[in-house]
Amino acid sequence: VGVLQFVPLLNLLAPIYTGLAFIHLSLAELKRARAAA
Amino acid sequence: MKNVIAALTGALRSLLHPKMLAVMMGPMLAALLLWLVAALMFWHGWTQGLADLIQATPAQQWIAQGFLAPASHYLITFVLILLLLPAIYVTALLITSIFAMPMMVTHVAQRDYAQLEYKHGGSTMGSVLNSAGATTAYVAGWIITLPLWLFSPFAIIVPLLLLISINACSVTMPWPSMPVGRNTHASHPLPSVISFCWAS
Repeated sequence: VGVLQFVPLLNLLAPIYTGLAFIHLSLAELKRARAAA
Repeated sequence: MKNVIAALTGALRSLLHPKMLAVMMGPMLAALLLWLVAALMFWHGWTQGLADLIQATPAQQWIAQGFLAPASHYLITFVLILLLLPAIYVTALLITSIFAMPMMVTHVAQRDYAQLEYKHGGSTMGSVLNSAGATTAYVAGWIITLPLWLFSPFAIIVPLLLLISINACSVTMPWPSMPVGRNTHASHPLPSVISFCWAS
């Protein structure tokens, strides 16, 4: 898995993909939290 | 675990949107351009500084005497390029976390979470400070773990761990600038990921 970081295209994708993953995770949490409140 | 998989799947779906592809290219091109201009302006100073630094150690003599002798002339350029690559990547991450994240949050919120009420909270300054903190931690970790690069397993694992940490920290912490921020007066505790927020 470690060698994947040396693939240039993956390093290009990683910041945006990670950002989008956190946005989806957090918005889903927010949705759940507001529904529970 | 289920929500993490759902988030990763949703992220993949969002990533393929043309707007996100444009956002993805922007910071990387800007960082590349920035460092290219800097390299054109300061290349001589950088190579001179690095040459002085390397000549102060036995490394250059050791390389010049060994089978790497033909490559010793290019050593400085090679080291400089090795240093520039993470610098370009970190700059792209900084640009992404400061400028692209608010756009990405708005895009995902409008497309996939349209039912969430739009609220205000946090500030861009908070995002900038959090990104600066994450970058400082990354650079410090990178410098501290440099000797580990001499041992093959660590040369693969250490940069990967550092990249994971900065990806997670720099894109998570700008969260307070999200346009659908949590209501300040809500009584329930902060959800796990949103608790990274330094503001409401």
